[in-house]
Amino acid sequence: MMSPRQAAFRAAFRDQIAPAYSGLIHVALIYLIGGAALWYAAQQIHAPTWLEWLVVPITVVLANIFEWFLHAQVMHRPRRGFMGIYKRHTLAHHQFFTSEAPFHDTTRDFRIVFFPPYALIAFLTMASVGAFVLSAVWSANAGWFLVCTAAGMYMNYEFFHWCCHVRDDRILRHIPFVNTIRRHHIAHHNTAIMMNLNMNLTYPFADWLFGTSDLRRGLLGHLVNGYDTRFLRRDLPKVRASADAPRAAAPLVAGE
Amino acid sequence: MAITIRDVGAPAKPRRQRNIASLVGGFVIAFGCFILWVLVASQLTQWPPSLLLWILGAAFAIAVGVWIRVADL
Repeated sequence: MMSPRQAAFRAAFRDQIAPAYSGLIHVALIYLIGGAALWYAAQQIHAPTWLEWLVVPITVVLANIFEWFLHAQVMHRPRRGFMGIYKRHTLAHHQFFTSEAPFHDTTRDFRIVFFPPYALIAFLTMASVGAFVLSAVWSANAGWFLVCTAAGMYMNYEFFHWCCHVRDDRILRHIPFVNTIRRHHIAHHNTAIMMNLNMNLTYPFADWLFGTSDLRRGLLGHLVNGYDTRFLRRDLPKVRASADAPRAAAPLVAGE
Repeated sequence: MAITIRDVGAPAKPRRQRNIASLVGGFVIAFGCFILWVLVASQLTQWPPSLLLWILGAAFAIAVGVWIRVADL
């Protein structure tokens, strides 16, 4: 149930969205840019060796840790030079979506679900610098694999994050990894744990690695946990119930 | 002078302020889109792409950059 405070924030935020904004164009741009970068980089790969293919899983793991780090240390911490990201995420995204009411209503709400497309440009630029170094010291194929995987991981991130905030889960709740991150992320929107736990948005690998998950189970269990709440840690902090959000202290259950 | 409903009704809402991020972001994304356009066009046709493709790329990049700004994204 949505608290009056959250409803008021949503109304004020929606009022500030420019009339020219279109959620569908926003998403189309992200996938057009990401898809073009991935396609172009893939075209440059010729007869890769198995060692060069290894760049893909290594990049997936590093991107997972980077995603965790960015979320935990920049999006949830006021850092000089990055205050815009902190305000947009902690002060806006987390007020718009709570664990009590985590779903968007219209495509105009995509404004606060997806990153602006220039975040993708920044991410691709960073990956390209890494790819340039990798190709200079080792192999051009390895560098292009890095760009491909980085672009793919970014689109994966955006898609999974949308899956966490879409209301209808009749299909999503049965898709492995998607159902896991959906419960994981909706629990993260509980104000009692949002600053410290469940920082991954694709696969909860880094949360497992660094002990910042709300689950107490192994890596495989973390990855395929789905909506299962049997393994929730017993020592999780709870939000104090208030007149504004009387059900705030309810247990963390996703997608119900 | 014509009198509008707004003049006699409730006070007008303050003008929506666009964020500086959408200005910088508009330039960044226009530049990024243009580079990507040229790369993809050269992959699909030849290097360098034809003048028409350069112009279309510039038009696309400017359109995207302008949209980012007016949508205040």
